[in-house]
Amino acid sequence: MDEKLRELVSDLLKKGEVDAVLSLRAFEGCVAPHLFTSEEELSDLVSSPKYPIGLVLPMLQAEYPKAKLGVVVRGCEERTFIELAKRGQIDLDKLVLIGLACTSEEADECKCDEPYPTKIDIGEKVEGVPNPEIDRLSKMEMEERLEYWADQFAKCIKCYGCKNACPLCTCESCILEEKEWVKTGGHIPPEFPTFHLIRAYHTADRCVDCKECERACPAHIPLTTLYGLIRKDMQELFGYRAGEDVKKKPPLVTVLEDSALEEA
Amino acid sequence: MADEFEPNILAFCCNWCSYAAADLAGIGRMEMPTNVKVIRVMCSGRVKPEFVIKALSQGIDGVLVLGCHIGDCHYITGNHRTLKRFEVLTRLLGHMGIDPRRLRLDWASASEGDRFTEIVTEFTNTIKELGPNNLADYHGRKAARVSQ
Repeated sequence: MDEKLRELVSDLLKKGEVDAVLSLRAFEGCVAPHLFTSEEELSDLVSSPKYPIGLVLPMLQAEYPKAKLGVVVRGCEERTFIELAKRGQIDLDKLVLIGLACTSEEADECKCDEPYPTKIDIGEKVEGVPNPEIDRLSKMEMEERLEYWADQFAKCIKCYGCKNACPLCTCESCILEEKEWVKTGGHIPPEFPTFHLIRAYHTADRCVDCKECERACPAHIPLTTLYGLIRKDMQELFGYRAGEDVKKKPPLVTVLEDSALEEA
Repeated sequence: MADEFEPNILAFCCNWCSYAAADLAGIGRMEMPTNVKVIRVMCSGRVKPEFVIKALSQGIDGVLVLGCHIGDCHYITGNHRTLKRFEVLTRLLGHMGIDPRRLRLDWASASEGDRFTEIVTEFTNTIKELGPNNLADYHGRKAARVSQ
């Protein structure tokens, strides 16, 4: 798979369709994002493991606003870019997306609904794997849910890993770092449920289910289960799926005429 | 007789409609429960969902958010946003296991003192049924030793 990807990237660079390609580079046993500008470097190009490339791209585009960049994207990364473009963080017109479908093992590991981008260049489209926890939690009684989340969030060490790993947390100053909302210093775990409820609300209209928060969490809190439930609600309430359509405005910032509440 | 539970209720009222409605109810000497503490905001759109989350986590038993009727907002569309946000927030509270009935969004125009009284009475009764908010008991809960 990586071999095919290298050929594709080298082709793009040779033809001059892009100035550089953003993907992952393996070196010294690690994988990190890298901007490939010449064909010589391509032998180090790899496609896995998954990396939050959405954190890197806005910086690169700010640095090189005129460059035409190729980017290797998975399904969730493509959705991320669409949401970032809506919020003025990146310019989609300056990008050439190289679609990479996840393998069924990867889809299963992430419990991803949609493990493929809209245009697949590399790999085969595999079926999505629903998160079984979402179903289990929807069936729970109120008290049971509260107990469940109280236990989960008691593990939180307030490392802000979820926030830092989230490619769609784009605010310059974060409310979770303001002492009016979250006590600063060694208050661990943070006050239940303020910290996590505020974060869940803030990601409601932007979470694209990329699972980066959960992968970053050292306490293994099932954050994407909570965000997944909200994602489902956004679809039910507004017919809105984050990352689907770049022209669709986030419903929480528009008036009723722009995107009305759907009749339940 | 045992002491009846007296809930602590916070009401966010917008300056142009519902606060005036509260005023009218007061001037009209209308009877209503005294559990509600009113906070005046310029528009119901000013009420961030975070306000509600914080209030509930600090032990407030119920939160009322009152604005102008849709279409009557002094800022034209302030309450549109409130309506949408609170729909999402209500669901979110439910997912967390916090009874969504502890939050109520409603509308009362400046002439509807009686409507204000009605909402406050109804809401106070609902919260009395639900009992005290015990979220504060969960503060400082320690993590159980679990694998994963």
